Amino acid sequence: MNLRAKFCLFLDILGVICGVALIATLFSNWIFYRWNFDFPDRFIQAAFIIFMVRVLLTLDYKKLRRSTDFHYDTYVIVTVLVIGLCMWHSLYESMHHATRGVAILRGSFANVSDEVISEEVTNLNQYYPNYQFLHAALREIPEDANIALIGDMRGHLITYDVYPRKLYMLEEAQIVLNKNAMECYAWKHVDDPIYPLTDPFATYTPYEPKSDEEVQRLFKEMIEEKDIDWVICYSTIYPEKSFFKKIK
Amino acid sequence: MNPAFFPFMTLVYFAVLIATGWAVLRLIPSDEKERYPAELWLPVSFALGIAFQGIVYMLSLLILRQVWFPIYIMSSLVLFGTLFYKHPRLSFARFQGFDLALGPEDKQYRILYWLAWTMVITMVAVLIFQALTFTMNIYYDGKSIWIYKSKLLFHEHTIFSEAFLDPLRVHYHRDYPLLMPIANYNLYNFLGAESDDFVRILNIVFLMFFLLFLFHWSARFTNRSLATLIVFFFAAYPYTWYWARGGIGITNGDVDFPLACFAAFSAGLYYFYWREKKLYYLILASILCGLCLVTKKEGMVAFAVIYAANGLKWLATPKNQKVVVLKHGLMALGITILVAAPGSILSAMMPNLYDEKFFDMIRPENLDFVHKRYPIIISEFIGDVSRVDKWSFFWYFYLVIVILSIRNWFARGSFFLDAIIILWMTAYTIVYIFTPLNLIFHITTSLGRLLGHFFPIVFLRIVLFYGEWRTMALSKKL
Repeated sequence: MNLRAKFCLFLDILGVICGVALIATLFSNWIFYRWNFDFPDRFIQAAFIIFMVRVLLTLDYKKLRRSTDFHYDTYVIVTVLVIGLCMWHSLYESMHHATRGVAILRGSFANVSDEVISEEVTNLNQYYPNYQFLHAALREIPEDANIALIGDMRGHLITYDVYPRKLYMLEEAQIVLNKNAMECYAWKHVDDPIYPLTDPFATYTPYEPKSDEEVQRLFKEMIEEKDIDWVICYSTIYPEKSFFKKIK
Repeated sequence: MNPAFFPFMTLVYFAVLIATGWAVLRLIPSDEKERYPAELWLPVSFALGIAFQGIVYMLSLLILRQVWFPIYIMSSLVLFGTLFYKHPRLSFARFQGFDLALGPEDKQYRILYWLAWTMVITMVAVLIFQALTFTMNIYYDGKSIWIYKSKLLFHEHTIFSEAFLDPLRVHYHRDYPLLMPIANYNLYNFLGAESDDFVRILNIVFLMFFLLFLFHWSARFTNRSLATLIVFFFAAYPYTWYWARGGIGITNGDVDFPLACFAAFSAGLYYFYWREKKLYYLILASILCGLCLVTKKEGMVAFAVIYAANGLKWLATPKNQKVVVLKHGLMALGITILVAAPGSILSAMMPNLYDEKFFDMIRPENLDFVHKRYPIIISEFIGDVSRVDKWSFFWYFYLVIVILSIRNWFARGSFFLDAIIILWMTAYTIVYIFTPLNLIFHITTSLGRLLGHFFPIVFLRIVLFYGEWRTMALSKKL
C-alpha cells in the first residue's frame, strides 16, 4: 500500500465516523424535534471536507483509480446522501416559514398572517432588543410625523423601518451616544470572559460630552427647527426605559 | 404593480441587466478568432450590467442631481443600438453557449457530472426560496446603511436631499458607495415597489455567477468533470450557504459578497491577462476592479492590492516586454479610475459625520503601543480561520500551498494571486492595528466578513494549485 492509499484509507475511516455521527445527530434531532443547527453543522462540515478531499484525491484517470482501490460508486452514493441531508436540513429551516413562502409563491404578500409577522418580530427582538417596542410605536405614529430619537448606537437601525417618517437626532447626541454606546457595550460585557477589556490601546475618537443643560437647549432648538411632534427614546442598554410619546 | 408579477419582473430585471452587460462586453474588441464560453461571458456580462446601471444613475445624479428610471431605459436602448454596428473585432460569434459535453476521458464520470450539476442547481433554487421566505431583515449593515439608501433613492430620487445632507437626520455612513444601493433601487423600479424579499435574490445571483466563473476557471486548469466537482464542492460546502444566505450575504442589499465577487472576477481576469497577454482580459479586469471601488469602502483596499500585485508582476516581466506591459498597465489604471470616478465623486460630496478617523491614529506616539495589539489580532485571526464551521481547512490548505510553491515563487504565474491575498491580509491587519475602536469589539464584529472579501481568490488559488499538481501527477504516472 503506497502513501496515498494509506492516506485515503485514513480519510475513509474518518469519513465513516463523521458520516455516522452526522446521520445519528440529524435523526435524533428529527425524532426529538429539537433542532440545533450548530451541532449537526460541524459534522456536515467535517464529513464534507473528508469525502470531497478523498474524491478529489483519487477521482482521476483509470490508472490513478486502480492505484488506490477507489470505490467510485460508494463515494457517489455517500456524497449524495450527505448533501441530500444537508439540503433537506436547510429546506426544513425554510419551511419553518412556509406560510410566508406559500404566500409569496402565490404572489400575494397580503396573505401573510398576523401570527407570522408577530413571530418574525419576536425573532427579531432576540437580535435587537426593543424591536417589539419599535413595532408597537410605529403602529401609533403617523407616516407624516417628525420624530426626535433619543437612543444609543443601535438606534440607527430603526431608520429603515421608521421611513417615511422623518427621524432626527442631535448631531452631538449622535456622536456622543455612539461613542457612549461603544463603551457601554464593552462595559456591559466587562464580566464576560469573551469580551474582556484587555485592549491596551483603547484611545477612542475624542469627544467632549456637553453638559445636560447644553444638550437640553440644543434639543429644544431641534424640536422647534424641525417641527418635531413625536419622541422615541430607544435604548438597547436599558430596554426597560424605552418609551415613545406625542409632544405636539 | 400586482405583487403576482414580482417574480416575473425580477426575471425581466436580471435579463435586462445581463443583456446590457453583454452589449457593453461586445464593444470590447478582441481577436476575431477568439471564442468565449457562456460560463465566462455570462458572469462578466452580469457584472458589467451592474456597472452600466450604476454609472448611468451616478452620472444622472452628478449632472441632473436626480435619478430617473426612464434615463436607464433610454440609455439601455441606445446601448442596444450599438449592436447594429458590426466590425470583425466585435464579432457576435465570439460568444458561445454552454459546452456541457464531456470529452472521451470524462465519459466514465457522466453520472457524477450530471448529478453534481443537478445538486448545484437545486442548491441555488433552495437558496432563492430561502431568500424569499426569510424572516425580516436582521442584518445591521444591510438594513441601516445599504438598503436604506435604496429606499431613499426610490422615494426621493436623489441623494441631494435632507435625508443625506442634514446632519440632524439619522442616517449613518451617508457617504458610503452607491453601486449596490442603485442595483436594489433599479430592481424596485422594475417591480414598481420596494420589496425586501426580491432584493435578497441579488446576492444569490452573485453566488450563481461566481459558481459559473469558478467552473470556467477550474475547467481551464483541470477538465470539465473535475471542474463540476469543484463547483459542487464549493457550492454545497455548508459555510457557502451561510455565507451567501445569512451570515455575510443575504439580507437586504448587503455588499460584502458583491465586493468579494467583483474582486475575484477582477483577479481571475488579470491572471488570464498575465498568462495570455490579451488586452481583452485586461480591459475587463480593470472595469471590474473599478467596481470594487464603488461597491464598498474596503474596495479601496481591493484596488490597491490588485494594482500592487500587478506592479510586482510587472517587475518580474522580461526586459523586452516591460515598456509594452507598462503601457497596458497605465491604460488599465485609467479605465479603473474612469469607472470609479462618478461613484467616488458622489461619495466625496456626501458629509462624513461619524466615521472613525483611522488615519489620524497613525501617529508617532501611538506607535509605542501598537505592538500590544498583535497578540489579540493573531489569536483572533487563528481562532477565526480554525473554526470548523467556517472556511477552516481552506486557509490551512492555502498555507501549505504557499509553502510548497515557495521555490521559484516570483517566477510562477500563481504569484500574482498570492501577492493579492497576502497584501490584502496585511492591509486588514494594519487596519486592526490602528483602529480607533475597541479592538476586541472591532475584530469580533468584522474579521469574518473581511476575510470573506478575498476568500474567493484563495479558493481560485487552491484550484489553480490542484490543477498544476494534477497535471504534474498525470505526466509522471501516465
